[in-house]
Amino acid sequence: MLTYIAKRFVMMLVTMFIIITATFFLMHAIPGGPFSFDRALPPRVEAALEAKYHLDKPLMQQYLDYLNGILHFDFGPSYIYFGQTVNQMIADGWPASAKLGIASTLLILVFGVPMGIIAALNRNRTPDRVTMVISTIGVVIPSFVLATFLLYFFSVKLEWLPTFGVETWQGYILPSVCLAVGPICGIARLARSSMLDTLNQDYMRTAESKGLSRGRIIFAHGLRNSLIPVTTSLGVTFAALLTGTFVIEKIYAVPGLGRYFVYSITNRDYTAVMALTIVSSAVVLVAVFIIDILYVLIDPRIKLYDQ
Amino acid sequence: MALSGNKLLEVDNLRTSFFTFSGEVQAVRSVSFNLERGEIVGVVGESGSGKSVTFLSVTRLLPAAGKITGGKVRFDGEDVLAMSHTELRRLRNSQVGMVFQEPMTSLNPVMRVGTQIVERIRAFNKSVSRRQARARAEHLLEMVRIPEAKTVLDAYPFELSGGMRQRVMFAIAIACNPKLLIADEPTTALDVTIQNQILRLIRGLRDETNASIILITHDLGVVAETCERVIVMYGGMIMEEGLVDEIFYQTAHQYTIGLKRSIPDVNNVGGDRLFSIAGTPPSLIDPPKGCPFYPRCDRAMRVCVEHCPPYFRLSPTHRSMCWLLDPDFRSRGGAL
Amino acid sequence: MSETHGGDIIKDWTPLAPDEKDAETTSGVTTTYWQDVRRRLWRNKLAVTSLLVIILILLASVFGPGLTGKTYDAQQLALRNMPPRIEIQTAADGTNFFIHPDLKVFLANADGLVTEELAPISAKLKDKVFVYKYNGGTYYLNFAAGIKFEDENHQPLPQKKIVWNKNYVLGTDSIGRDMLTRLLYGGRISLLVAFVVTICTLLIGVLYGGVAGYYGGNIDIVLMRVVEVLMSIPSTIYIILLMVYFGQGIYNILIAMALTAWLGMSRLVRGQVLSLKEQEFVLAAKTAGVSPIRIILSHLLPNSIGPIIVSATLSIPGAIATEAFMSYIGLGVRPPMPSWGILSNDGIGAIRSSPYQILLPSIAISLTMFAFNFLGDGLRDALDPRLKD
Repeated sequence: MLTYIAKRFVMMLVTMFIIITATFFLMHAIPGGPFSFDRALPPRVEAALEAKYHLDKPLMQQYLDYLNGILHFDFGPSYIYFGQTVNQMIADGWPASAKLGIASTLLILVFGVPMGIIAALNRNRTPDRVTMVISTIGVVIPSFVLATFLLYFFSVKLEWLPTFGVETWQGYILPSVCLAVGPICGIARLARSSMLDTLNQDYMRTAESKGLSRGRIIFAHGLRNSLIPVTTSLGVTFAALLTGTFVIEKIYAVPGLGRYFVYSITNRDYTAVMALTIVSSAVVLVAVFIIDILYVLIDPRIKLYDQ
Repeated sequence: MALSGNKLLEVDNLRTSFFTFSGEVQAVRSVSFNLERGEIVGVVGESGSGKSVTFLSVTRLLPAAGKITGGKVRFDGEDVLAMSHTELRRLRNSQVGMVFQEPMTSLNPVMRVGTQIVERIRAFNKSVSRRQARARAEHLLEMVRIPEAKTVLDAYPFELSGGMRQRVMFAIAIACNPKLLIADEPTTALDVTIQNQILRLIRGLRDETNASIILITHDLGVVAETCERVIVMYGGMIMEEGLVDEIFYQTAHQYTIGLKRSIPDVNNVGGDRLFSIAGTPPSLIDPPKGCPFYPRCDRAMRVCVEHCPPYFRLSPTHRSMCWLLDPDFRSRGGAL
Repeated sequence: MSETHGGDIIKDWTPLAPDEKDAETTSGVTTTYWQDVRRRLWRNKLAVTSLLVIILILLASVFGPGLTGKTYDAQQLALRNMPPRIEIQTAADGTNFFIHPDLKVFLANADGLVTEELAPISAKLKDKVFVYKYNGGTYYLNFAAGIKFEDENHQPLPQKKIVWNKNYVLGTDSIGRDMLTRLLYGGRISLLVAFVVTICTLLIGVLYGGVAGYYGGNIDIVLMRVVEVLMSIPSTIYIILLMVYFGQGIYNILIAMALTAWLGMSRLVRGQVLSLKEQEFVLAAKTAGVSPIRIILSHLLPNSIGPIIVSATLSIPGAIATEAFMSYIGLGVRPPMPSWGILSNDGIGAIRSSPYQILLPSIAISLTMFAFNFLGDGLRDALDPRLKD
């Protein structure tokens, strides 16, 4: 088991490294550089700026400097907001994003799996049909489209919830719901079909033939097996969740990293884009890694398969 | 709790159907038999004969689409079909043990073997401590001749071979000293050398605990070796029933004769074609109104198409459902 | 159970002739696999409806923009932010007015065609009243508390009616462009991106996965390791990076999306080929001496095409969503070219004042995605009914 975890850890580091390198060279390959705005700067000013930001050094040197910086958690200065470092931007932005992310994740865990299991246990009866209809809609509709509809109904028409900003905690409700709906519905469907599959398995019949109580059969035998495919999909779900925050934060004006990301992209603030890419990827990769560990705990057969 | 003589199990006119999109599949169409304590009975038939469904019905372990549509089942004097859910669980837990056909999939893959045995022991008896239950589980594994029982207790099913898994199934089945053990094709998925061990295990269990054993199989050879009585099923009904010697040496049904002929002959190395009974099992959605076997029977007569034969007795222990046994037929000079 | 024979039935002891026994009849008409598939799909009402919806959307996107009589980038600033349903107020003398939220007054005809703007006689913001004279009558546009249009006696006009906007059936956006044309053209772009990306995915993915699966061994290991590493990078981030590098534009987004989408398909195809290779009918074909090409074409491909088609169909909604997402954050198609994502981005700011501007593209996206999704589900059920619940 330890070798499995170690392997996954190394993979994570390798992937991070690839992302950092790719991001760096991609950004530096953009023609024109960060200082060629719409208005051309006088060459001397441009040269001075470049020297200040070390852009006149050879590329490999810049790369190594950048790597060095990352190891010390220094992402460099912002090219747009002169005088501010990207670190400061990240420090400003991550609390709101973290709160949003945690709220969404809680919603997903609390609602997603139970919905699917309850649907499977009540197959073809009302709870099942209702769940299937809701989850089909929720899975397909993109989060920003859903955000539009929710914003329109709850904020504009009914005026129950604030349209934007997170001064009060109510401000987090609509965005986290928007983010969570897609994954909740996806996981519910997966949990349902997984549970139905499990219920059909021979070992469930064996469990019943032993005279065990219904509760024990479902929870001790059925649940763990059903959760295996669900856990596998959590990694992808998390990645989708994270990228969803970019748009949701923009729509709901949540002052988090996602919004910064979008601004940086639109304004071509390259260091910020690089840094935020790396930070986002890191978050996803760490989450996937944790999920991988969870997976090993749930399914003892993985030791066998991974050899 | 009433006792009715010595009979452990009484099944009377049992009918079970599966309700599917294509219609009602009558898997069991009137099955009646009794089981004494301590006897080993073999139930023989092809796939689709209803042999497994009969015993799933006895413990009411049918899948969702299956329903018992008629008849009576009495276990140790009690009406099984009228039992509440809890009474049924108790029946399954401590009175009846079942071993299923597929050892590869009948055990929960993410639960340790020991846990799967212990949970049965403690299901109705929380006063048994975990340690005591584990000790008993270990003893059970030894009873079924599993080496290094202590290690196997903590193993996962995927770490065991097919033969060992099947033995674990047996250990689980007898964990609470059941009065009846139902083994549904316990050796079919295993190779022949293991088969022998399993059969010896079965006989040993009966000898040690005086449990009754139902051995469901399609293999007459297995029956000959292990069983005292035999029930032959076809098309959801019992064709012939008798002591093992009667079935083999005084065979009274064309189907049984066909089954016997299908056993490959060790001495026939020459290259004659293997015998198989021509034809396919009947449709259970639209079962024939006469004898279920007539389309494949060499001796079929018009009466077989029109009327389902009753049982004719050849001895107190031997009966068969065949018009060839009708005295009217015999008296016209007809021979079996 | 009776053990005596019933004495009152007639027993005919005549032996049966072999042909009377029909021991081996099989019932039912045999059909081919694809006939079954078509039948099952046809029976699925939801899938069939979705297919019709998709065809309609396709036709509308392809032919629609030419038929509306307007282009997607022509601006009519005076008529900007006009909703699809407008209120026409009629004065006592039959003159129809349309009051624009930007505090402009237009003349119109009774069923919603706005003709020309009426210039005010006096327009002092301070007074919160504009004065108009037309056809001998005096009118006041009073916006002290809400916007009110009054006749010379400061009374509201006798008749008010809400009608469809005849100039712009679905209204205009914030700089006066026709929403209908932009919506239809946006459909063209979004669907184009989705289809092209899916086709690239199919081509690259099937080739890559097929090679990996068929040859197995070291080739498979190497090819799949590459895919694994690439897949561990969240794809949206990947696309964002590429788009920042490429810059906006429809070809760029096509390339960026195609570069990421094939990964999943290649894994699917490889899995299919691997499992099929081991199946007995392939072994039987090989034993019978069938050439590898024929094996691939008539055994491997037809059997794997089912899941491939399903996966492709179900990836279309994802591609539409990704393109919309990219355009929404400003990394997709370059304005003024519309796509549904761009329309959403344009419209979000006006959600309070002109909600139709964002509701229309949102509904379009949702509808299209649902349709492809239900069609994909229907295809999956039709191709392998065992997977159905």
